[in-house]
Amino acid sequence: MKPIKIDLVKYRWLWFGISLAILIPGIVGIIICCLKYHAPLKPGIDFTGGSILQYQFEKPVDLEPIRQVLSDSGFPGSQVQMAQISGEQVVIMRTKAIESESDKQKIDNHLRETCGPFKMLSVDKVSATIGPELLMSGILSLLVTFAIMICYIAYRFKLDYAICAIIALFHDALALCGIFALLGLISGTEVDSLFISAILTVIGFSVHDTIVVFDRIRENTKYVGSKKLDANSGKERRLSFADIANESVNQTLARSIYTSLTVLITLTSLFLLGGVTTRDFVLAMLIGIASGTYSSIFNASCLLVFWRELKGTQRQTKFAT
Amino acid sequence: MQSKTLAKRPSQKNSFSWKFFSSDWKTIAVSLVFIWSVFTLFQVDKQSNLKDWKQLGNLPVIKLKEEIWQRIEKLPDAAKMDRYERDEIFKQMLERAQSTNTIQIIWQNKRWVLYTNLKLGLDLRGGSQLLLQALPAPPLVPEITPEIMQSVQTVIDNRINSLGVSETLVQRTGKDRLIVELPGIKDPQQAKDRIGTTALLEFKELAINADGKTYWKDTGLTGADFKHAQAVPTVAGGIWRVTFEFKPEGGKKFADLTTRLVGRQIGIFLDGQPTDRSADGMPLPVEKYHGVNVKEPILAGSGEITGSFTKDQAVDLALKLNAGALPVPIKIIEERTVGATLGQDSIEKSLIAGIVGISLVMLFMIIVYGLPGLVADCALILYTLTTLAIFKTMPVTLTLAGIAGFILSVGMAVDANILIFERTKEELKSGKSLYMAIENGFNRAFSSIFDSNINSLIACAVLYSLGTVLVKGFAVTLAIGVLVSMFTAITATRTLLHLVPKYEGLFGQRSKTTVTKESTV
Repeated sequence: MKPIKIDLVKYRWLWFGISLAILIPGIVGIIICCLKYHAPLKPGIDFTGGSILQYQFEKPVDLEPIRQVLSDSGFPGSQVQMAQISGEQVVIMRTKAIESESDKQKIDNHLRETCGPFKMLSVDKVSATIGPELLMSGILSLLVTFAIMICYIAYRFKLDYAICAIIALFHDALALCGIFALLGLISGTEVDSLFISAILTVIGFSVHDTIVVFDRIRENTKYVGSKKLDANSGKERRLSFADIANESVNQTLARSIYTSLTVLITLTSLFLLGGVTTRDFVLAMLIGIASGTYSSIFNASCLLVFWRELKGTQRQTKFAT
Repeated sequence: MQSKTLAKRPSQKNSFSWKFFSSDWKTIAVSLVFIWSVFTLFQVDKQSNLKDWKQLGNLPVIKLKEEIWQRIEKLPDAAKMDRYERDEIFKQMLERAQSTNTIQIIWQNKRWVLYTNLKLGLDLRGGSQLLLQALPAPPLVPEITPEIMQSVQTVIDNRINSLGVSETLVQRTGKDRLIVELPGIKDPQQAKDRIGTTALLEFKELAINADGKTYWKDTGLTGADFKHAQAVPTVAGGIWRVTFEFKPEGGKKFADLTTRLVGRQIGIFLDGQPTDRSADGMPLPVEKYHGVNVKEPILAGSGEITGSFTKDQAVDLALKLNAGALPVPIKIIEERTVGATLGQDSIEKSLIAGIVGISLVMLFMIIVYGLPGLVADCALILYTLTTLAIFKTMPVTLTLAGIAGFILSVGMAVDANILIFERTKEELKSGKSLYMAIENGFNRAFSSIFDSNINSLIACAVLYSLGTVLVKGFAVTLAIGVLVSMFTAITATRTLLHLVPKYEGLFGQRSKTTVTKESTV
């Protein structure tokens, strides 16, 4: 098997460009979401409060009478959709939080009268009081994770490595949020507390990937400045930090790709074959992990090279410890 | 492009610090872990036995308990057993009957069943999870104190128990909240009604009916008249009493009642059951209940119940008295109910997704690495079994998100092997012997594996400490997965890899001449 070689440094603007091509529409999506939903992503009932009822009716039903029932019971403007769950037609009703039990019973009775008997598949109800709290704890957990990981990377690596790893990490979180903001605008995908877990997992994975690459760069920095025979010109020249980074990324390339492939294989099978309930969660991880792999191969190392070049090549030998 | 300088890496000093790498203890440890996992995870039983247990488990709790006591009586050495032994057997049988309904059958024929029993979350087996919040009720209760929460919990616990659903859970969370879990419940509405309504606390007196039998007669004094009870130590210390207070109206009724009943007993009943509990946690049968002795008339609308109470007993009684009425209003702030159909569907789908995912990963490893890939696959099987066995032992409640975490961790477990194998390949390229290359591969990949796993664990820890229940399930499974993978992917793979015959080309490397040629190109 001939190893694939990527000239990382030479095409660095291409790699950054690809990232921007994904990030910019995402950021636009986030801005539109902010205007439309007053939140960067379309928030689900976990964060806003509300109810989702999934009922499976025995007879085929129309959505309009169901909307009417909800509106008559004091929940106008509720969303009613059809969905397929293991081959069965299921009606999904999204309303604002049904706070009292008697309201819920009223709706159930009304539905039975108008549309016939049904089977309750699931009921999710989050009162408006707890929503903001879940959001706060979610955001807090994100911030805490960011902080701890930054400390950990800074402790394990030099500061400049840490900053590049963190930029890569933000890149992944942003790419994931951007795509979900777009999905929210296009197909109404909402984010819930599981989405926050997905971001955290993606961050963990992205850092994990970046560490493997950086670990290799760090190990190889001792060769910076050593002589090398240039294959094209036949002349000897000294290895720069960029050469080392290039070499290190290529050494870890097979591993990065294989690892991501195994994770993507398991996630894809979950996405295609797994339960409906966690489909968005799995999709979020799929996107995030693909982005994490990309950023740790391309962005993180390129940034590091960029940084070092800005600081001047003479000082590099200092780091060769 | 690979340069000679890069290829000739000075050998590191730690290469031989792991001298005991293949000494016997590792092989033994791996085998022991394997054996433990298999025996923990899988259980075999006769079809007929299992059917019997299942039928038992389907009975309402009270009937089930009766049935079990009857069975214990019928046991051949029942007469020889003392009370303690009987209670032990009772507990075991009860647990068995209740858990049989949640087993997962792996394989069965006419006579035998091979099954496992992982604890499944409500989103998989169906059921309701409610989050209740106690609301302060000024001016009487301006703030929710731990004592108030304690009595709210007792009330809710009693009400849930009265539903007769098995394996319910009422748990405090945060300052003023309760999590209520009702697995496999058919009618969550009934449960919610029960939680919301006020239980009936009654004071009764002993009377004699026409047949000459004693019974407890209503006195008209109920929880509606009751204000508050509290456990306080008497001056002597060690001995506790319970003081209580009625509302003005109730105080008058209570004064009349106690004047009439000096020297006799008052019975305290909750929803028609005595407040005292027997050993199994169920209310004491009415015929065994003796009530509380009245020492003197209590006229002040407040009084005390004395007796040689220990602290625990006094606190318990005070709680029970307070339990009659919820001290503060409660509200259901979050509800997640999953019907059994959707749960079953999720189980089946996750199982298929898991099997397909793991199989594909295994296939991938064989295609990419050949024989070492197969070794990694064995480690992966060990990983899967061990992780599930740990889930079962702890026990970890498997939710849908938890399963996703587990399947994700499978992908990550393989990562350690990929790192090691890639490193080994490089070592071979640089001209090391196969043996040295494998050793160096393991040693050098270790720092990467360790660092990255620490990172995943950080994420898990944060998720666990700050997340909701759903998120916690995911964090726990992922964390256990990461820890187990450190053992299986490193120790187990290394042990197994030293067992397979070492031949030239094990890692797909070419003969040394080609390698040198390639590296100078």
